[in-house]
Amino acid sequence: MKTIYRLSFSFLLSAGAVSAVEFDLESLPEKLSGKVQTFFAADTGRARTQIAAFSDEELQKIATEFKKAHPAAEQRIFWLIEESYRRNAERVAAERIKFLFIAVLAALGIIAGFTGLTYARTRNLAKSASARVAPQPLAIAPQTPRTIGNKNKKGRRK
Amino acid sequence: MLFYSLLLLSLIVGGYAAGVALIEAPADAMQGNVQRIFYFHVPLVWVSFVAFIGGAVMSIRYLQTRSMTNDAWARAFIKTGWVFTTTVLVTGPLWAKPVWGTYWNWGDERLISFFVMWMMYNGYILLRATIHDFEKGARIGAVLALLALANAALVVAAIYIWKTASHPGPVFVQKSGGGVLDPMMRRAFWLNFSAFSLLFVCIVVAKFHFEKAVAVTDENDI
Repeated sequence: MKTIYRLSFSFLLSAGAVSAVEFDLESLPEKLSGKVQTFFAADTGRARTQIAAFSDEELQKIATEFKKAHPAAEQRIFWLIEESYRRNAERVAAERIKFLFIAVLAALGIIAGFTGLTYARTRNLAKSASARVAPQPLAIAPQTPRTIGNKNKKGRRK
Repeated sequence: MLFYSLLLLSLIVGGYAAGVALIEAPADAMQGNVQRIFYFHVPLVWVSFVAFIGGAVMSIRYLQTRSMTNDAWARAFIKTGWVFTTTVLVTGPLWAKPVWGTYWNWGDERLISFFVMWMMYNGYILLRATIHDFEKGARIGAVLALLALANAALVVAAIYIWKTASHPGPVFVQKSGGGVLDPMMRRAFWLNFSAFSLLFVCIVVAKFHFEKAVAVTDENDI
């Protein structure tokens, strides 16, 4: 019997919680009210895809009306929730900009490095090739009259 | 002179394109600023494929004519393509980490086939560096370039064959017609596309002159 009482009490509590989060859709403009009703009636997956369909202005209106349906004490909870979302969004945005920055730098760095290396090596190769082809200044030894020397020293050069 | 003109033009277009992509174009509603990586990532993929197609065409021409000029073109295309592919492999994971929550997804067939393609071109470069007989290296390299291009075709077809979750379908070519991007996003994309294409032409021309000089002096390259 006690279990039945407990179950009934839990049911009443949960029903009370549901009614607490509901707010008067009539307070919204007619078009928006219909949109929100469709959103509430949709299953989870479909409802998630419908989120993007709400404009910034519509979201603001819904949030304001929802807040009005709650006592002042609960407004503080909304502040905390909003602050949490704001900080999270800021953190995600900062992290994403960091990844964008690294990606752009890495891409440009790799391409610039490769281009620079190719350019430098082409120049070095061209330089070494031209050095190889360029005529060397000939060191012409002063012609000295050949003396008739010892036959045993034939073929030896100093 | 042509090289310097092209380089200057690609730098001017690239600078403007980067400004449009990073500042002017709106941030993506779902992904935020990290989506801007795509303005660089996708054109880099495009030039990589152009490079590998160019490399394969020049390899076929080498096999027909045995001209070292064709081989120099093939090496220039493939080595430049390899660098651009490496850049794709760096920028892609940097986008994926904040969006997918992981740098790499080994279950995605397109990613795997792209990685295999990159490895094949690594093999090409290593092969050319290790075979000192220039003609033999050119011959084997030409065959490998053709095999690698077949794999590149698989990379393109991967999204149609396996319907991968991470790469669900083409962004620009829609069966229903029309586009899916904001006009400013499209502008940023096409500007970057032009800038990277110009830069690619510039680098390939420079690399070709280098490869030709290497072939003439019979020296080795990395």
